[in-house]
Amino acid sequence: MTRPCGRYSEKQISRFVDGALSRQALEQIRQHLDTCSACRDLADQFREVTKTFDELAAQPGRAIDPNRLYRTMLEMEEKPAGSRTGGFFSRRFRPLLAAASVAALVIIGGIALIDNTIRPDSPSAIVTSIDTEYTAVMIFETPDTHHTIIWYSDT
Amino acid sequence: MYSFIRLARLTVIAAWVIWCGCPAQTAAAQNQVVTHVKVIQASTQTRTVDPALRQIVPELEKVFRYTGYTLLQEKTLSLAFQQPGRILLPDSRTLVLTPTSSQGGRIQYDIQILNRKDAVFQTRVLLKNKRSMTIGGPRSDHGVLLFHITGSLP
Repeated sequence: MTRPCGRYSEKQISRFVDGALSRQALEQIRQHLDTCSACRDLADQFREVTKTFDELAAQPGRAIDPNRLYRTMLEMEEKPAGSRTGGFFSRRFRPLLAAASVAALVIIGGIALIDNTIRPDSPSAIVTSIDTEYTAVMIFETPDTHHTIIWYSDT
Repeated sequence: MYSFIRLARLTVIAAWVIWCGCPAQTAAAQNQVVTHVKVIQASTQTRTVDPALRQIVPELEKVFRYTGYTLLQEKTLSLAFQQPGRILLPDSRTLVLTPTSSQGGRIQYDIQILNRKDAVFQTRVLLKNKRSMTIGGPRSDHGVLLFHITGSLP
């Protein structure tokens, strides 16, 4: 992995890629990436991992290929990343980090795939978004049949 | 002899046309999502349960405290993906259901409840194939409306 320049942490760059920052912070990092190649490379690498994972997770019924994920990680490792120094991301810990990342992705992907398969105890409907002007919205699931109920009060 | 050859040729052409047409029809049918909607009025004013709802009500009673359930209307919509289906509801409301995709044995629906032209409630759900869910809450005549939605892929 490329290391960020120091102005922003890896966590912040990762959150930027995920869009999980305030609008102001997103804009600041976006401007920073225009001029900082190290952070830009890191953001590209995070995007590559996300893209690979999304591609695999978007195929219901097909198992995640850990080898492919591992290959992606290795390819990223081989990209020129400027000077590398010590710390957790040093060469010594990289195989460990890669293995841990693959394991985490496989676990997360496995959970996502399991959720997509037809299990008798999964809810009849998964609510992915709700948008309403009413403030009182509740989601229930009946205990036996796992029937999903969305309830809103329009008063 | 000539007429026999001509007949055979016509038969082959007809068979070819039917053979080509059938998969297309099947493919078109496979893209249709059958959505069955029951519009129910639930209230505490009565103790009557509509006979048509006897299978549904026991699971609703586990969550709601209503004592009476009346089937106001029932509609089956056969919709292509991205095709909205509309059901007119009491009090100038409209229920709009749009199957948008299917994934992992579930049908993704975009569901809107309109009050006149304004969308007052919208949700996106992944409904298990051949299973049902309920949306409830809009007030109507001393009770509330419940929408019992079942989706099936062919």
